[in-house]
Amino acid sequence: MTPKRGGPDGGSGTGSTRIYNRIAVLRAERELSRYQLAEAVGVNYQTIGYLERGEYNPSLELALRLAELFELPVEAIFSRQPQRPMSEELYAPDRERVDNK
Amino acid sequence: MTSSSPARTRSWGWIPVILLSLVIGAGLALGATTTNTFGLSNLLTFIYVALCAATALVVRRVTAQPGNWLGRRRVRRVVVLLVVLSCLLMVALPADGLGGTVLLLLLFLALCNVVLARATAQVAVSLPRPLDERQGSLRDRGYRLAYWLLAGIAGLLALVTYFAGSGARAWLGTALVSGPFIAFVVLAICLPTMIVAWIEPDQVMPAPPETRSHVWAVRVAAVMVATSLLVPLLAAIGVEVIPAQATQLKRYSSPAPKGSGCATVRRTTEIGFWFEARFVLDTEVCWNGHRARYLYGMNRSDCMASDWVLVSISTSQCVRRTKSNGTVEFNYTAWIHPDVLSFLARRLRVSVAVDRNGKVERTK
Repeated sequence: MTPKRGGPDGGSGTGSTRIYNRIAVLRAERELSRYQLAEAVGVNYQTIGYLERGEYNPSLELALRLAELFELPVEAIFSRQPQRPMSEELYAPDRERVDNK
Repeated sequence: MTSSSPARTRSWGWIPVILLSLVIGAGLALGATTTNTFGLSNLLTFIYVALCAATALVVRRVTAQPGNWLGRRRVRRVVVLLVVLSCLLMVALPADGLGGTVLLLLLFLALCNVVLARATAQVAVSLPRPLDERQGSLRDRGYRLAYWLLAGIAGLLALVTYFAGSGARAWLGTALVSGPFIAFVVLAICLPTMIVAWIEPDQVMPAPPETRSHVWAVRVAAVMVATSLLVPLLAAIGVEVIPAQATQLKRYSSPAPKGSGCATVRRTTEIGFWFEARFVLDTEVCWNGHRARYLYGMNRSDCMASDWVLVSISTSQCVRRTKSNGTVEFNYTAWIHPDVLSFLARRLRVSVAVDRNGKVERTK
């Protein structure tokens, strides 16, 4: 967690801790443009851009709305720690099981 | 959880624009109605005020995204600095140097306000409901900082008034009715937008494609804004470049013996269009074949413009003389400064000469 000067919300002052997210990857997987995603969750398309760049921390409501849209738990999209690539997370349990055996 | 409808930014950018337009229009109308009897100029002034109001209404209806250029924070900060510099210039102006310069600065500030409102997608002047959560928090931060800044300025002025000597108090007394007051009002209107433009990071590019009708609406709004700003500038330049229009009237006052007589000579010279001035030289001259003499008029009290609109006039020469050949001559030279772009100046010479035989010899 790296406190960011001026706040990660683009200066709005609603938080000082960066929240990492996978919105860009999830949006690309679903072949959505920023504008389409913004329309779907009811925000300005610039807000989606700031979210993807980590310059804005969403409210709980917006986070839940995004989770609902992507049909994923919130913790799969947002994290307080830098997130590993999704492929690594997907295959990590298998590797751990192999290692345990 | 239900998905709400897409956030739409409702444009309230017309509020500062219409306020500034009204200030400019009221200033122009006041200047036009108090110093002249030009019917056409008054009409043009009111048409211009109507154009400003119509422009504000059109700008209100068009919500334009910042675009690739204005989306950059560096560009927005340059515009903010230009607004601050204009306000500082207004504070630094002497009270008697107001008028045209302030009008020019207000025009420039109106343009900057339109640019900043577009650069911030009118976040700072929108109602809370149509904004999304990020825009709402950005707007709130802009207003919070603007409040503290303005409160700081007001508090500083109060301290100056309390502790400072009579000289500073005299300055403050003048400031309340001159440039610093106007600068404070401009800041009170524009500061939230300026702060939002300053703190918002670089925007996401490229912007989504806009519909053809929206593109045209933006173009119409841009043309109207440009027209509102350029028309006074062109009128001011017109004072410098439009040729002076002169008319002359000579009317014999009474029958007289051959070689002598009296006549009323009136020479009218007009300069400029909308921003204009009219000079009337009116005299009655008599002649007898040896010399001409004036009965009335052609005095120093005639060395002034009869009407003027949105220009200021300073007399540089006012000479009346009778030459050795019996010709009576009157020369009036004046400098004309348009109220907008008041650093421009045009020298105008109006001359009437009647020779000893009653012939109006030479006029310029």
